[in-house]
Amino acid sequence: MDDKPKDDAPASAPARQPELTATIKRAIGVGAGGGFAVTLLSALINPTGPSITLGAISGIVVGTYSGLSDAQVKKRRNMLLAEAEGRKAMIDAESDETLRQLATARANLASCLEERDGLKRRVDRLEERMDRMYGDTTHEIDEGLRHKGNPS
Amino acid sequence: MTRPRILIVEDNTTVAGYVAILLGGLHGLNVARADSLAAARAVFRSFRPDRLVVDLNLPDGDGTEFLREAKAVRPQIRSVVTTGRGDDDAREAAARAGADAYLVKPVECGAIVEALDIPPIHELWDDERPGPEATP
Repeated sequence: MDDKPKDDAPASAPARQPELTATIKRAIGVGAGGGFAVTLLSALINPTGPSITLGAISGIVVGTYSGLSDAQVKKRRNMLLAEAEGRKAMIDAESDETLRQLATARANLASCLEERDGLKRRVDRLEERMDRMYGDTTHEIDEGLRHKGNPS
Repeated sequence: MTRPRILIVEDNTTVAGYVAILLGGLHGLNVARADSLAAARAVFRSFRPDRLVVDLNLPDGDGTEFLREAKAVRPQIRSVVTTGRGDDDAREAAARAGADAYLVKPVECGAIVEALDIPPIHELWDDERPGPEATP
């Protein structure tokens, strides 16, 4: 049984169409906007391919007249890239500045905490000293009241 | 915190001096002294104390007299009797005059501070610290 498809068999045309379309697209360098041109060329080269439809006609009209030229697209693309680069540089700079400020704040906070701890230790020592002095003094007063204060 | 104002009515200068050192010097309270009944009446009017430390045996009378007068003028005033008399008659007389506490000499600092309801020394000391709102 002969499995090879016959060249003139209409059934084989749709299977070959995507490959042909891709080849034409590569050859003429068109993208999505060139759908009609590809379809048209495909139809001319391969009459058994899909017929030119009203939708394809409207596609090429839109692709041709509503789009920008390659130069304009390239120019706009470059502008957008430059703007994006600028924004990125600005964000990076702001981020660096924020990180620097955070580092400074953290260092200041650590310094304040250290100072607070130091002061707290000093206060604790002073309170201990005051308690001792208070105890010593009241003891002396108690002794004085006991021995020198004549009951009356 | 309002610091208590203490009037010490005591004719024994040694005892009065020690109590003044305890309450004025150590606790930093406002202290005035009177060594007789007459002096106590005069100082009471000018000094307006809110705590009293009163001896019973004064040169010109009994301390309960002054205590009674002071309580009549200012019923909320807190008073402590310090005396060498430990008999019940004296205790009852002091209680009738309005004494809040009765301490027999020799008294001790802790007993005086407690009887007068003096705030702990740390609280008084904290009062001197600059608060967060204080300006340098």
